[in-house]
Amino acid sequence: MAIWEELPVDLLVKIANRVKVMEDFIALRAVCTSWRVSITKDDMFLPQVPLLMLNTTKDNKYHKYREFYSLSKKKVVRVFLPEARCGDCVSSEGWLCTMSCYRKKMNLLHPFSRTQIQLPPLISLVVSLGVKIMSIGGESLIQKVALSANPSITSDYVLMVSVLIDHDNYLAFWRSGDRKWSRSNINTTIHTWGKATSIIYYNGQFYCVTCYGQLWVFDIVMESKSIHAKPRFVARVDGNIYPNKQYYRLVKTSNALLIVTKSTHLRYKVSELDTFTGRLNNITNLGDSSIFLSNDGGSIINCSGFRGVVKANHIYFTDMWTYNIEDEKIEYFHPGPSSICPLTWVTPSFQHCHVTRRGCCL
Amino acid sequence: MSSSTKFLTLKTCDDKKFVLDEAIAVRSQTIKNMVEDDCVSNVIPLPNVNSKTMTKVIEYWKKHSEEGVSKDVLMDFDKAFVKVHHSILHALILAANFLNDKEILDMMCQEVADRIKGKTPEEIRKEFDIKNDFTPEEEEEIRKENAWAFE
Repeated sequence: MAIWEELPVDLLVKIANRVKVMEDFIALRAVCTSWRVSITKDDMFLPQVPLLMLNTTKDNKYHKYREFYSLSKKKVVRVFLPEARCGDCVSSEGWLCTMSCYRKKMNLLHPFSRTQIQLPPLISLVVSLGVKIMSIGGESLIQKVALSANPSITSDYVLMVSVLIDHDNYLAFWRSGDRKWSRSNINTTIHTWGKATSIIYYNGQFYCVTCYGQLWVFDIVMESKSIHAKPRFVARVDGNIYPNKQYYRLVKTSNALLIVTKSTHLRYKVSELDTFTGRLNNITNLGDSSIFLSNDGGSIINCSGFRGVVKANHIYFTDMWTYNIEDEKIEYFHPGPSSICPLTWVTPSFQHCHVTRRGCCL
Repeated sequence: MSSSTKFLTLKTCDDKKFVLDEAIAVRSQTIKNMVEDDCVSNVIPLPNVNSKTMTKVIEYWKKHSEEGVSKDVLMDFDKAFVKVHHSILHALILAANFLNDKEILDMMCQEVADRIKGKTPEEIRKEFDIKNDFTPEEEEEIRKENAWAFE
């Protein structure tokens, strides 16, 4: 009689390392006590397939659950997440930047553990930007966020936000533990800036591409109570081959900064971005990898562990369709028309309790 | 060449003997080390492996040592090879681990992982005859922690 409960730990971990999809991994750890003890959260394959977070609709607004579409389960799953019931959520590194009702509080929220990290209030951000408070309005205030590191792994990180107030775009920064936001001293209200269309942290620096294709880099200088983000214009992203330069999305791999641009209608190009010259080197094949894009950012995963779940060499869009980089074919990954209202991709992960999380008030 | 063929005798825990070409037997890193260290007398005892499991292992070794077998044939062979009752799967994992045959071990671990795919904890228990030893409170706690994954 086989006694799977008594399989040696190293062999059990060997098996666990081959269980790639997070839902399966969670099920595996819920089988019996010895498996749960032997297989730790650290044994999970990373990065995971992002879940598609759905928007609140009239019907489910203010509910305590948020809905996510799971590519592995091919259905919508509900996550108990009362912290995210108001307004939009913007994601980075598997965390969400959330706003409380009436926008009094801002938090970083880990949606799969409900861990929250308090950010300095929006009002302090607005004040630091020098904007009149009266003019706060509009739907999506926080447009994009970029984390320098995953707060699940370290308590030492910087958050960059791109904010839209009264049609003007502002950039602000917050270092974990700081009481206040730090603004960048770049004048983003000038006509030629347009707005930040993609921001990302790559190789020790924050990068921003504007809708006019300007690539900026922000050098972070740490001071005692705040940080200083020095903007530096790098180059115009070489857009000559693309007639329409409105669409730019930055995606990072372990050793390259990629940019997805939209050429003509429903045609996309992936290129490696030279962060010194702004030049693009076209990439026609991502191999085993695929890119997930949303309005607030993008990520890339290796699909070899997720066969049957994610197609390799594709771009996954939040509007529930995929783009084949090789033959430019478009396919829907969710069958038929639906009432689903997608918002953003969120990479699921475990929250590790051993990291001290420094909010703004500590 | 045939004159230089050396044979090894493997003895499983249930006292069955297997006479095997050394060139095939050294697919096991454990046996290979023993041969290289010259600590092989007449019979190599395999105290952790029974004859039923060893028969399966040798079947795999022989197929993968045959000359002129196409990749497709080997792939079909491997596919059929892993389609066994979970108790044999379990025995093969332990045997491959003891014999230090990474190829068989990886293939068997992958098969277990494949059988877990898309299943609920209860379905996994059923597949592998595992007892649920959580208290109802613990089970509730586990469910709550990642409720979305259990939907």
